[in-house]
Parts: sequence; C-alpha cells; structure tokens
Amino acid sequence: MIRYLSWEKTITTCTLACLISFSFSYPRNSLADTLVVFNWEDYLSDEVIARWEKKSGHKIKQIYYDGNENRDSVLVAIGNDTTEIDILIADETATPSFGTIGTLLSVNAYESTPNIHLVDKKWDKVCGAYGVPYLWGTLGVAYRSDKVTSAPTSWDILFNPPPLLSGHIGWLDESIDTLAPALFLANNDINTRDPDTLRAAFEKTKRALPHILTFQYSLSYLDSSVRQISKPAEKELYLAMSYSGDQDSLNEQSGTDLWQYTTLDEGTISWVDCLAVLKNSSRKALAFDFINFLYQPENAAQNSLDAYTATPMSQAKSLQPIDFQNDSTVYPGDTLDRSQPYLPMDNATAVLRRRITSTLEKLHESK
Amino acid sequence: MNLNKRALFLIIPVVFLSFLVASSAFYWSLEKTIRGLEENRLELAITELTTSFHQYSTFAESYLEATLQNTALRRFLSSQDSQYKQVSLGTAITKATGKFKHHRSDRLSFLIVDHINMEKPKEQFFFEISDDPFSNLSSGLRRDYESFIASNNSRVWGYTQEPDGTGKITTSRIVDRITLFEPTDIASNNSVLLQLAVEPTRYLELKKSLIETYQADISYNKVLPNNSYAFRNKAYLGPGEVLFIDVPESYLTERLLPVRATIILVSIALFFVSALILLHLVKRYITGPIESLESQLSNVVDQHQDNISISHIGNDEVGRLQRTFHKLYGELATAYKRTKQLAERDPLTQLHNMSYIHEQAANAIEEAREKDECVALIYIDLDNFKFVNDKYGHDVGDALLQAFAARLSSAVRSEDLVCSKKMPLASPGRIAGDEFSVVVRGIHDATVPEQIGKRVLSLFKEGFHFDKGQFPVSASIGISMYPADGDTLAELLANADNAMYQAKDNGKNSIAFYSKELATSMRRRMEIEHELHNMDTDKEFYLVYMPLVATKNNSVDGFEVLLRWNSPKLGFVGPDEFVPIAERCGLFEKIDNWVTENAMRQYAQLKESLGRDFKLSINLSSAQLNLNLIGHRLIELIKQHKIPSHCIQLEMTETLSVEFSRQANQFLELLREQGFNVAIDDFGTGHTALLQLVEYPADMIKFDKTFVEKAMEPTNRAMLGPLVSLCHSQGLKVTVEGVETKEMASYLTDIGCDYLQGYYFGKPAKLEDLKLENF
Repeated sequence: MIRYLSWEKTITTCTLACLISFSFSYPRNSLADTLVVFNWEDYLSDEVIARWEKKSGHKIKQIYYDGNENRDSVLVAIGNDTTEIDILIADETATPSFGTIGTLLSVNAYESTPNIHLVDKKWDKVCGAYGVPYLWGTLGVAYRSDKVTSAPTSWDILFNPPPLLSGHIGWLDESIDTLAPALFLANNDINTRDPDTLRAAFEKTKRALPHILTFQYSLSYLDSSVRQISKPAEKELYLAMSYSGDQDSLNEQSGTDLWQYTTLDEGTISWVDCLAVLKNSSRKALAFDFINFLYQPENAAQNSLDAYTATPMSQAKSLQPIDFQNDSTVYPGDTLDRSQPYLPMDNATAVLRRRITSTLEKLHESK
Repeated sequence: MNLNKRALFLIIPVVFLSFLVASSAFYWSLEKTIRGLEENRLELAITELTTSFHQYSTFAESYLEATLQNTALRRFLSSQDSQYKQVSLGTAITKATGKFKHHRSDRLSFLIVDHINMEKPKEQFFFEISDDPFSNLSSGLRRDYESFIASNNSRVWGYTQEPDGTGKITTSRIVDRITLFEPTDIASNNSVLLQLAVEPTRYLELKKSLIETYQADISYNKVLPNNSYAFRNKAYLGPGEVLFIDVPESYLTERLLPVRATIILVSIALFFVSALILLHLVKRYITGPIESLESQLSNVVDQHQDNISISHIGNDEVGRLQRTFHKLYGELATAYKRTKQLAERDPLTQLHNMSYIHEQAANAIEEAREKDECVALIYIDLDNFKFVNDKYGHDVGDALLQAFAARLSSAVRSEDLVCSKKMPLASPGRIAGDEFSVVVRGIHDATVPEQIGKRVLSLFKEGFHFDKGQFPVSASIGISMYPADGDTLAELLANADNAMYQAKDNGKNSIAFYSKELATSMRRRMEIEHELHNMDTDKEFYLVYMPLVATKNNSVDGFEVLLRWNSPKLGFVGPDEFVPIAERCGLFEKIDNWVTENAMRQYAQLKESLGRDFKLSINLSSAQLNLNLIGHRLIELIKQHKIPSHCIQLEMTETLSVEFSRQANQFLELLREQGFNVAIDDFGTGHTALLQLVEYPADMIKFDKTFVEKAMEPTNRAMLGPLVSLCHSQGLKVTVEGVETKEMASYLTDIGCDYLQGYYFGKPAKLEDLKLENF
C-alpha cells in the first residue's frame, strides 16, 4: 500500500471547500468522461489506468490523501451531498462506517461487475456491505539497512533504540497505529476501548517521544526532505513505522535500495483496503465499468505488482512473478498468525484516541 | 598638633556632615523615585496582565466564532451521530488552535451540550487540547454552563476558577443547531449550548510572577479588600471582575535595602576620597609649603643649607613669609658670620684665635678619643720677631705676621699632606704675638705633624721674605701629641711650648717633639726660672774672675768676670743652664745689672789687690734689649766707681753682633767713643763669616774654646795664623779662650794672639780666692 500524497497541502487546506467549488465550477458534461478516484497516491497502477482509458476512451483523475483523518474529514464534509468523487479506496473500518452513514453505495447495487466475485471468499466479509477488498498488507517497520544492520525483531526498538537511531525514528499518526507498538509490547488488543489500557499505552508512547523525529508519514517526510534538498543529518529518517510495500516507494523516492521492511515478533496489523463507490456519484456506470476492468485477474495482478502490495485474488496472484509471490514482505506467511485486524470503534474511543494522538503530536512539537 | 592634623580635624567633620546631609537627601529623593518607579512598574505589569487576559478573552471569542463557521461543527450538529463527525470536529478544533499560536494555552476545551431545555442536559461532545487526553469536563466548567443555562441568556463570558488555582476564560453561546444563530426561543429543542474554555496560560504565568515578585496579595473581590499595603493597583478583567494587587511595605523595603547599602558605601567611599583629596590639596598648597619652609628653616639653623630657597615660590602668604624669612635670615647670617669671625678669628691674621683654638682642640681631642686617633698640636714661635718689630716698627711686624699667617695657612693645607688612609685636617691659629699653632686632627700617620713642621720651617730658608723685604726671622717649632703627651689642650699647649723652647735651644729654626726627657729638663728649667724669680740675688749669686793674659808680656792684663749661682735649693747651677733661662724670662737685664754693679764695685778691691788698673771684661746678654739704658747705666757706674772706661770691656756674642741693627751699631760706636772696649765673644760657634764680623765696630774678637780646639788640629792649624792676622789688620785684638796647656799657649802666642784665657792660666775664682800673686 503506497500512501503517498504529492499535493498534501492542497488536501489539508482545501478539503471541502475545494471539492465543493470543484463541483460547481465545472459543467457536468465536460466531466462526464473523467472518473474521479479518492485514493492514496501510487496506489493505483498507471499501467492499468492506461489500459482502461485506452479500452473505454474515458479518463481517470485521482485525488490523494495521506492519512485517514484527512480522508475522513473530507468524507464527513461531503456527507450525503452530491460529490465529484466517484470511487473511494479506504480501509476496512472506514468503509463500512461511511457505508452506514450513507456515504457509500451498497455492493449489492453494483451493476455488471462480475469480476469482483473473483476475490477469494475468505475476504468476503472484511469490507462489509459497502466495499470490495482491494489490496491487503501488514504493519511493521521500514528501516535503512545501512543504519540498522540486522532486521529489527521487536517493537521495543521504537522505545529503546540504539543511540544511533534515537531522534531518527518516524511514527504513524493514526488512531489505531499510533498506540499499536505500545499495545503490542504489552500484549494488548490494538483495538482496545479500555481507558486504563489506553492510558498506559499513551504514557509509554510519551516516553518514546525523545527518540521520534516526526509523526509525518515516512513517504511524505522523505518527499518533503527531497524537495527541501538538504535535510541536515540530524533530521534524517533511519527507521519508520510503515505499511508493507512502503519500502518500495521509499527506495524509489530516495533512489537507493537501502530501505527494507520487516514485521515484528510481538505482532502486526493485517489490514485490508476496500474499494467503494460513492452513493452520490454521478458516474456510477463508468465506475462499475472501471471496477470490473480492475478486477480482471491480469489487471488485478498488475495493480498489485505496481503497488507492491498483496492482492486478495489468488487467481491474480498466480499471474504474478514467482519472486513477487514468494516475497514475504508482500505475502507474509507465519506473521499473519500474530496479526490483529482493524476493528470498528465506538464514538467515545474514537474521540479519545483522537485526543491522544493530538496530545502526543503536541507534546512532540513542544519539545 | 601639627597643621596637617589640625586640617584633618577641621576637614573631616565638615566633609562628613556634608556627605551625611547630601546622601540622606539623595536617599529620600531616590526612595520617592523608586516608589514612583515601582508603582509605574506595577502599573505596567498590571497593564500587561490585563492585556494578556483580554487577549485571551478575545481569542476565546474569536475561536468560538471560527468554530461556529466550521463545517465540521455544522455537520456535527445537523447530521446523525457518528464517530467520524466527532473525530472530524476534534480534528477541526485541533487544527484551529494551530492558527492561534500567539495565544498559547495549555488547556483549551470545547463542549457541546444538548437537551438544554430538559432537566438533565446532555454533554454531547467534549474535546480538550491539553497534555492529558484523558481529562474530563471540570466541575467548574460544568457549573459554568449550568448557571449559564439558568441565566436564560444566549451568550455569556466568564472567568472560572478551578480548585487547583488555575482558571479558564469561558465563552458560551446557545445557538440553533441548524442555523447556528441565536435561537429565537432558547428553550427550543433545537437549542444547543457551545462552551469554549481557554486556560489563559500566559496570563496565569504573569499573575504568578507578579505575586512572586511583589509578594502581593491578589484578590478577585469586587469589594475593596482590607489589606495593609505600600501601594495598590487593580486590573479590570471584565464586568465585575477586578483583580486587586496589594504590594506590601516589605517589598519596597527589600528593594530599597541594596539602594541604601549602595548609597552608604558610595558615600563613605566618596567621603574618604573627598577628604583625602582635600587633605592632599591642603597639604600640597597650604601646609606643605609651610612644612617645607619650616624644614628649610631647620636646615638653615642646623647649617645644612645657607639660607631659605626663594626660587619657585608663589606670591601668596607663605611665599611672602618665605621671602621675609630669607631676608631676615640673610641679615642674621651676615651678622652671625661677622660675630663668629670676631669670636673665632684673630683680627690681624684672620687665623683662629686662642679661644677658638681651645674649642677646636677640645673637639678634636674628643673626636680623637672616640675614633682612637691622634691629634697633634704644633706650636710655632717666630724667632727674632721682636727684633723686627723693634727695628722696623709695628706696621712691618704686623705685616710680617699677616704674611706668615697666609703662608702658614697654605702650607698646612691638608690636601697637600701626604697621608695614607684618611685626610688629616690641619687648622692654623694664632696664640698670641708671634706664637702660632696648628691643630692637626685625624692623624693616622705619625709623620704628618713633622711634615707639617718641616713645611713651616721651609718658609724660613733664608729668613722670612715678603713684600716688605727680607727679615732674619726663623721659627722654632714644638710638637705635642694627643694622647701620648697630654689629654687636654692646656697640657698639649704647655708641652708643645716646652718642645718649642727645646727647639729654640737646639739652635732655632728647628723642630722638637715633646718627650719625657724634655719634660724633665723643662721641669728643671722651670725650677730654675722659679728660683731666679724668687732668689736673694746678693746671697746666691757671686762673681768669679778669669784671668786674661796678654801674650806680649805674658802677664795678666785683665779679668773676665763670670757669674756663678749657688742656689740653696738647687745647689750649684751653671751659667750655661740658667743664663738662657734668665734671658728668656726677661731676667737678664736684672742679672746684667747685678753683674755689672757688683763687678764695678769689686773693681777697686781687685785693683788694690792687683796693684794696678786692669781690664774688666763683662758679658752683656741684655744688650740687645735696651741698649741705650745699658749704655747710660754703664757710664753712670764707671763714674760712680771711678773706673776708667778703657778698663771696661763689654763682650757680646757673635750671633747678637750679626743681628745687630744699625741702631745697635751706633750704640756700640757710642760706647767705644766713651772709651769702652767692645769684644765679640764666642767667635766660632755661629756661622758668621769672619769678613762680615770684622766690619762691626769692635775692639776685640774672642775665639771660642771649641773653635780653637778645632783650629788647633793639624789640618786646620795653618788657617789660624792668617785668621789672627786678618783680625789684626782690621784693628781687632784677638783673644783665645780655653787655653789649657803650655804648648797651646806658646803656639797661640807664636801666631800672634793678643790675649789668652783658660785653665792653664787659672780657673775662674772668687775675688777672695784669686791668687793674685801668680800674676
């Protein structure tokens, strides 16, 4: 999963207003040919897009987000209003939630999309009634092999890093992910709603703050560092909480092969991203056409390969190169035994977790 | 108390008092200023505090206003409950705080209360941005919104104090959940309460530091608190919210303490500096010159300097005083110099006078005693000065003394003296008349006094020559030394005097050191002198006669009368011994008279015994003194005793003859005209040239015994005859004394001597013992 946002500023500052003005400023007819996908960047194969555009004669335009919070804000802002966004790619908890509040279209309402049923049966329930499994992966760490000689094995490396790594660690700013390392180490449920468990995880994570370089998503951080050309040595990222597949983008970004990815012994999160059609999309037919095309095994295989993320379609996997199929960072074997899924949260926990991540970031900034 | 001390005692209290008054005044004014400044400072701090508070309240208003505009809120209020809208609202609130970075707040919360028209309103959403994500709505904020609901207002502003001492500015609204405007009916189901609570962190910090700084009592009372305070200020935070700040007196005291200490220290330092500067200036310009004048006066008095210096002095009082002193002392010094001169110097020669010699010698002896050195007293007597004085007059005599004094002074100049280690100091002086002294101090080399003596003698190589001519004056020098020859000047002077006489006896123009032997002989001489003065002349003196044999008939032609003295105390004293003494102490005239009178008196008796007239030869020692007097007396005597003048022969010594002046010569001529014979006695003892002698008006020359003995020696014999012939050729008869043998008598007769005298013909005998039958 490549969660990269090239114009993150735009998305963070221009959210709803942009999108709304977007919808009013363009005549409907002129947009009829263009399908709008709300997605992480680099998370949809350009090759596949090109094939579909060639086949259908229509265009695909993507709007990127770089975090769930951003995505959610946009989606909340849209609410049930008419929108220019046609297709959403979001995680397995957000998809049913937004489906429930009426933002998304029920999969049952999809027309002429037989290929979505090619997805393996075991993923059937994950995205719920409002989405189709898109790609899946794990949570671990990406690290620079020149700075971390042997692959880390424990989440403890984030709390007690060797001196070299201290101050060079990237952390994720997500309601579940942020506290996940502390909860894994304490052998707790990452989706816990227990305030005391959360308080313990918060306190532990607070103690890791001195080692943390940034809460910015590693790819965004690296990209901004490239754009600023010279990040001083003390601002260099050596190790970051990452989703499987990020190492590929990181290497691509930095123009090296130094970045490696690994899951850690205490556990991982196995996540699934889902593809959904917005209920108020005005180009539903076009969206269905694209989805059906995307879920053709050869396209699904290509999309998975380009995103360097596992496909939930065995038929597609079998079409991929053997090396890729055997890459444990893409298709982990045993690790999945120790994995936990994202589970839906209650409101109070969601607000609390939001307050926790805000507080951690605030404390980190004030240091 | 000297002037500096007095200046100190005068200046210190005045300066001290001035500083005390000045620094006190300064302190009081400073205290007033500081109080004012502190009040201003507090005013400023209060202003800052108030400003900060108002900024926070404005911030709270703006923030709430901004939140009202936020779609997330609209979405939250208008749509069905879901976690996304809650999280979204949280995110929106978090992001909004980022826009108010200048209003740092450690605790900001946003509350949405629903069902406010019901008995139990529902806290639908609470989101707080702080360090503690687990915090809940505080009781204070809950009371705040509850009382707000009760107030039936649609908006309210307030300050809620929390039990932990912090506080929050709250701004609350009741809005319609759809329109987000003020509801027309607050009690409507659609009304919802929004409460924004901001902890005014900066304000709280300012307040805390204010309390700490001023140890002030702060109260939010709306009525005046009843505290005691130095000064008070108040901050109006909002309607009904007044913050009183009472600064206690102790704060001001604490502030003033270092000021007071500084003022005291600076005043003390300045006081000392000023006092020192004043004292220095007083010393430099007032007492200093006086001191300098005083020290100069002391130096002048102690003779370390000649007079007060008057260069580089001002025209002030001290300068004028100095000038006056200079003038006064100049006059005094001149007078003193003159007096000192008179007191210390002999007016004639400008040499030290006797009294100063005394003083000087006493000092020299004292100094020598301390330093273990020697002092020499050189006693100089000018031989024959009296002769010069008599012959050429006192003017010439004085001139001679002056000339001698000048030469003596330069002759004894110490720098010319050979010396080994230390320069001896020789100072010449005049004792009296023709007697001079040289006191030599600091002697380490025993030869120094003699060197000086010789130097003095060298002034008389051939008499004394100076601008008035050449004079037959010589010097006899006696030297005595401290400590060997005496401890006092009197002793040294007496001993040097004695040594001088010894020198005279040694033949004049010579030096004699005082010695024990000299002392003995001097004692003897003094005894003789004493006896001579006190003797009964007629009883102790007696005359003896020595026959004078004429060679032409080998018969006694006369007698030389000789004086003998038999002292009852001293026994027999030879004439060789007492005659010079008598001459020296002025008794020779008396003796001469006695001899002349008695000899004349006895003449008749001797003539009777002899049966014929004879030549009576009398030695005249005193002739040099008063020739005229002697001449008259002689003439009287021969008249009295009826003695033909040609029977009287007067003998004078060779030396005296040579020294005879023209006046004396005239006198001798006179005597010869009266018929007296004049003989030159003791020829051959002096060094007078014979040719010079024969020019003198004399009838006879008497060869001395010692001379004849020498002349009789074979090698000299040949000269005796021609010598006699020479005398004869000048009309002088020749007498030879000391003839003791027949052979000698016949030889002398053969060479033509006219008269012989000596033991061979008879020893000198008293008149009654004379065996006249032999003649």
